[in-house]
Amino acid sequence: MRVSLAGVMLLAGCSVSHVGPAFDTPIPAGEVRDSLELKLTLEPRQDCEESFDLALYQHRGIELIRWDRPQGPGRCEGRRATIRYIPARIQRAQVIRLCRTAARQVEQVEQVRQP
Amino acid sequence: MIANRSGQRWLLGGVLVLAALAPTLVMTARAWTVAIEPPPSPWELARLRVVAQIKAGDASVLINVTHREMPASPDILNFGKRSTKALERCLSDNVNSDIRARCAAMLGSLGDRRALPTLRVALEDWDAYVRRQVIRTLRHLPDPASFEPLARLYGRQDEALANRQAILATLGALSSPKAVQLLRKELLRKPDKDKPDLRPQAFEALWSSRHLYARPTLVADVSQALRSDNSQLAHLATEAAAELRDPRLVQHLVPLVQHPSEDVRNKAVYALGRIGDRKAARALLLHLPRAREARMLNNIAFALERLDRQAFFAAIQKTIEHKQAIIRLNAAFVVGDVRRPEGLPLLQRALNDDSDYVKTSAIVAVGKLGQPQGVKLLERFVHHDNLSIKQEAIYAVNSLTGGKRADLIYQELLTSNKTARRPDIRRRAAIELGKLGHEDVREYLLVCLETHRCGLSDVEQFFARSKPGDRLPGRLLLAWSSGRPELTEIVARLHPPGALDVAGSALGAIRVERQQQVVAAIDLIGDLGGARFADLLRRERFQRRPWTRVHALVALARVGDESAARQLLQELDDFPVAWLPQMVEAVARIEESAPRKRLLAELQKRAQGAQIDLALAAAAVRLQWEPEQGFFRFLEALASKSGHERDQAQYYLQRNRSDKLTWLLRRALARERRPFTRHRLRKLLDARQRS
Repeated sequence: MRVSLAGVMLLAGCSVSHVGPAFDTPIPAGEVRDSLELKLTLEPRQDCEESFDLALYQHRGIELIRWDRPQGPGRCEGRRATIRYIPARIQRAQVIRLCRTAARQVEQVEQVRQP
Repeated sequence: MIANRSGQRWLLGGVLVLAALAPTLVMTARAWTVAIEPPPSPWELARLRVVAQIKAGDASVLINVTHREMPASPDILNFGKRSTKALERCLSDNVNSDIRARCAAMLGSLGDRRALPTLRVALEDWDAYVRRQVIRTLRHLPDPASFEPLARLYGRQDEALANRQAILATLGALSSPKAVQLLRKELLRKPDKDKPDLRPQAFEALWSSRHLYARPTLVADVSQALRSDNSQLAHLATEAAAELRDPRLVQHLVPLVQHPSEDVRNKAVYALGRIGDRKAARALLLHLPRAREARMLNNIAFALERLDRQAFFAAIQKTIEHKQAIIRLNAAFVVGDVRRPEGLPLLQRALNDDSDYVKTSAIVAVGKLGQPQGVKLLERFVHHDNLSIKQEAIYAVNSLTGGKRADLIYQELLTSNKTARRPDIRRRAAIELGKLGHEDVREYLLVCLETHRCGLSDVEQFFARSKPGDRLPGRLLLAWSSGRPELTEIVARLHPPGALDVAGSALGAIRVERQQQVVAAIDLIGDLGGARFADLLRRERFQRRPWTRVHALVALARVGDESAARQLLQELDDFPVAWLPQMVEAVARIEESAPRKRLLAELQKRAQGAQIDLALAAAAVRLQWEPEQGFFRFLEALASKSGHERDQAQYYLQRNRSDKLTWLLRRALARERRPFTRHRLRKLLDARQRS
């Protein structure tokens, strides 16, 4: 399966909340956050981690993707990422759908609720 | 009468000198008592007198100084913007041209915009070298009002060539539409046969002002530069093309793949790969078999892989079977770096190559592909007689199994008799095992660090996981106290018993000349929260040496001295702009929430201020403390109307190597629609990926 930016944008298009200004903007501190921890096999390529990020961040409901330190530089398989998102802008299921479009395999590890 | 006045002036001067020199003399006296140093020479004393007069605010002190009396630049810059007036008078009134040039350069390091009128007048200096320093300084203090005097000087036919080149660079930094017009005229001008071609300098300067351009005009200018017969200009244009990524540039880049200059060829191929237009694939495919250097082969391969993956694999298959081993070796390397599973069958063949070098390259490449089936292919090499093949196979297998074959590293590389005469292999094995958390290498790595055979970065991660009762922290403290300031952070993290006392004693005992160790002792006291050494730190904050003073203030702020934060802010406001990045590093050491809170509101105020260098330095501290909140000031700066602000923002973003900043840069890039800001973000991320 290839990383399909168009596919991701199509999925993102299901929600209107991803539309925003022509640049990145802060999310107000008062907005509720939630996190998802995932085990991922990324599309094998030189910049697999970055490609995944660029695809997901198209949606403005995704606030931060925090990566583990890979076993070797540029590793694309067996990666762990914690995705912080804004539930009012994107639902958990939609986050997972976006991940499935951008990665080869997605496995949910656990859901961490932030206070 | 005149003699009387002169006598009074000398008396007053003497009193001022004594008063201002008091702390310095105390420190010097301390040094004499401790280290029994020879007393200062008459010229050293003369320089000290000049320093004291600058400190006392005497603006005329540098007018009559000669080389012998002129203090070292750091001693003058140490007074920050209090030395501006003296330096201005020096530039205007000292008759020695070398000293005037030094004063002009120091005004650039200070970054005090109040000096701009004096600097503009100094463009008329009779000495070409002084004028050059002034032109360069005006580049550090970009201001559209400098355009007219600079343009006038550029227009003089008798101006030195180096000065004309420097003027173009400075015009590029002004972010002035008038300057852009002049620079474009220079770029598009047909060079005179008998005169030097300044188009490369004009192009470079225009590139600094690219945010003032309409994109079609910029693309047209880059296209023209790509077609130029000047190799330096073509080279600069290929770099610009890689950043612009405009498909209209492809037709002008393709012919450059065969340019006589190796640099131009490589940059052209790189730019084609970055633009990603499939039209370039055919030209690259044709050129692939003709590549004659590893860098070119790699560049073509990476570009092709982006443009047409299928064509790439067809072409690289031929290359990996080439008659020459060096080409097969490089082809295997490229296949590994591309990281596509389609490369595995190609590498499988390379693993049977007669050349051990090609075999080794293929083994490393299989490890990079990350395909589990690679383990089977490599198992036969883990007992190979050739130690290079053996070790690469073991590391690759370990990597492909997710770090589950540490036993092989231990038995076959670290403890095997076969590696007894190869300390390099054993050291690499121990470092690798340390990273995997293998306890048996603890002593080896400690000795390795103590004897300078291992770098701190090799072992830091492992050492940070020290256990209670471990001898390691004590040994690291011992190494630190014998002059290893780079160990300060890890000693602070492991906090061995007695560390604070050792740091306090070190601060009292170390000779003042060893500033690095003094700063390390101050930092360690701050890291360990040594409030009981506050008095010792307070003494250091009056130091003439700026870094001792700043680090002492940082440590005092950390141990609870509320006034230290205020003094730190004063230092920040007054500091030479050239020193601000180091100042940022020092202030960012503060981890405690109370002093951070005390400083944050003030730093945010400065981050929004009109003084760009100070604003971004203040923002850079916040970026280290609160990257998610602090990042947006940098995003704003990357889109600023001022090229200088954009450059400064890029500089601080490059210096901050944290993973979190990488993630934030990716988020910003994904959402950025302003073309030039997008280019900067892309460039920043590319640089992070390369390192």
